[in-house]
Amino acid sequence: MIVEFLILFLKVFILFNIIMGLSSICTWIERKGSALIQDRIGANRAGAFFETDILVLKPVFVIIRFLGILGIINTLLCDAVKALFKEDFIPDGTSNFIHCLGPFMSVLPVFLAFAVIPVAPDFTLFGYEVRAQVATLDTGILFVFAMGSLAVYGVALAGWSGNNKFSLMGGLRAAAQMISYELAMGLTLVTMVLIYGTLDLYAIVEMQANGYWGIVMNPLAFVVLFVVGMAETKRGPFDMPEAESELVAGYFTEYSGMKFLLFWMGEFAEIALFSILLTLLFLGGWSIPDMPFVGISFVELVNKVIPFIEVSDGTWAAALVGHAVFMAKVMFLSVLQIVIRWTLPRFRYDKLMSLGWKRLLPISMVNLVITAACLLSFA
Amino acid sequence: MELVFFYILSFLILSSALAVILLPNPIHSTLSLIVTLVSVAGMFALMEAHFLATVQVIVYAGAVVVLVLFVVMLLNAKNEEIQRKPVAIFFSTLSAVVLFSIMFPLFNEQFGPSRQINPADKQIQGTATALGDLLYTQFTFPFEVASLLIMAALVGAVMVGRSRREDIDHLLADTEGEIQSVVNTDNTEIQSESA
Repeated sequence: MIVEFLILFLKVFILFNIIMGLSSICTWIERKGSALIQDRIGANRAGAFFETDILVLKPVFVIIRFLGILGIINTLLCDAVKALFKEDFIPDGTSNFIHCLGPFMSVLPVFLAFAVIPVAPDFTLFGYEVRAQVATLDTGILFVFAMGSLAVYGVALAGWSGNNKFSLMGGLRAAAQMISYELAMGLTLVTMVLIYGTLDLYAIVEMQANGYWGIVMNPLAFVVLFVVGMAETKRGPFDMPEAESELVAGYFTEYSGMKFLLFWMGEFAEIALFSILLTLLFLGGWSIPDMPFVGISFVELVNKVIPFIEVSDGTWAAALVGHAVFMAKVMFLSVLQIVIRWTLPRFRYDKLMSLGWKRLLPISMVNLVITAACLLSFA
Repeated sequence: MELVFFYILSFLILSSALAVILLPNPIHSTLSLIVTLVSVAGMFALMEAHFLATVQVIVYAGAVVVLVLFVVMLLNAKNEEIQRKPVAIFFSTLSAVVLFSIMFPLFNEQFGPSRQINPADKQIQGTATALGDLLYTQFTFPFEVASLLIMAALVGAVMVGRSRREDIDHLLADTEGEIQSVVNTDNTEIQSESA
């Protein structure tokens, strides 16, 4: 009983750190990467000039200077400290409670959705069989979808409680956008569930490891879900809800300090969540395809490169390797989203709506019907 | 342990349902409604009906109440003055009591403590597979009828919501010059933007 509880607690702790780590890395890539894309230098000051006379501490300060030049201290430490010490401004004429509920509700559902995400293959540690997933639900992927649909409240309440028209417009835009793209997302998820025949994310990855990856079986669904993901996270060319030139900052115009930062944290956690979902559904999760050209399987290659550790199915080393592969795929998709966000110009709002309702929704519907027909005739 | 969660959820459901009808501010009422629906989903989850719980969150908390919240926000509804007409209170109490006295024995007979559920069945019943099997074999007809009903409601909503041709003509006749100028400027704006 106590051991099981301890395992569960450790799982939650590790998963929480994975979320926070992913979103902080995304924040850093967003700041420094956008600078690279726009031919700027970007954050490079905080900690870059640290000096010391004490000989023992010199190597530490070299590392700090290096991190400072890379902008890591600036984005991960200084921004958070600055946000904590800023005045917490609450606008007049609105409910305090709802104003505070806004950022809370835009972070909480995203974090909850991670509960059903498996991050590594099963492994055995000290005789205990561990599944790297906090909650093994029968309705894994639907749970993620449900939590995603709850995220609308965060932006809607934030927009309303700003007590000004820009905030309200931003909140309404965001909510309408999220609801519209949820339809295409739901249909695409149904398509993939039809193919795999299960809702359990772990089983989906196992099926891909033993067969074809989802992106091979249904590339159209991958493209649709990727676009929908960018729209659901209200980023990239779809960031009308926070269009600076029209709405100041949209639904979080009136937020300052840590509450403002919470919105960003939720947004980056959402990017990570969508990348993870795409990886699990289409890119085979932690599985690696066989490499016929090299003439050696990935596991054998790892065993040759890394001595002392035997990587075979079910060991903790295999789980770690699997987790690394999984994270590499997730980071690739996250970086891709950030690069697209800083490359493409913003859409017009009516075009965004017509893309969602007139293009993506029919495409995903046709995709669903064709997939079902193929499954009926071939399987 | 399950009993503790049951009482917590029951308290949440009842208190938030009361808050929905008693709070003067419509936004607060809507938020209480979300709490009610999510707690009901928790109740489903407690009964191992994970699929039903998830769908409850997706459909009710994630879609229906969002629209309610939209309407409340757009109308910018102010605090409601609670009306206490004696006749209204009498009839609403009466209908509530009648409804309860009919429903309670029925439910007690069907799902009360006398009905025993096999623990082995309990694991299977809530899954998506079991539910899908039942929906598409035993209950195909009610399922199709329900979907037809929703379709009819959808068509009805579109019919009510769309603006009739005569209405538009009427409006145009009233403020023809004004609307025409607005339309023209809109068109030129769009043209210049696309150019």
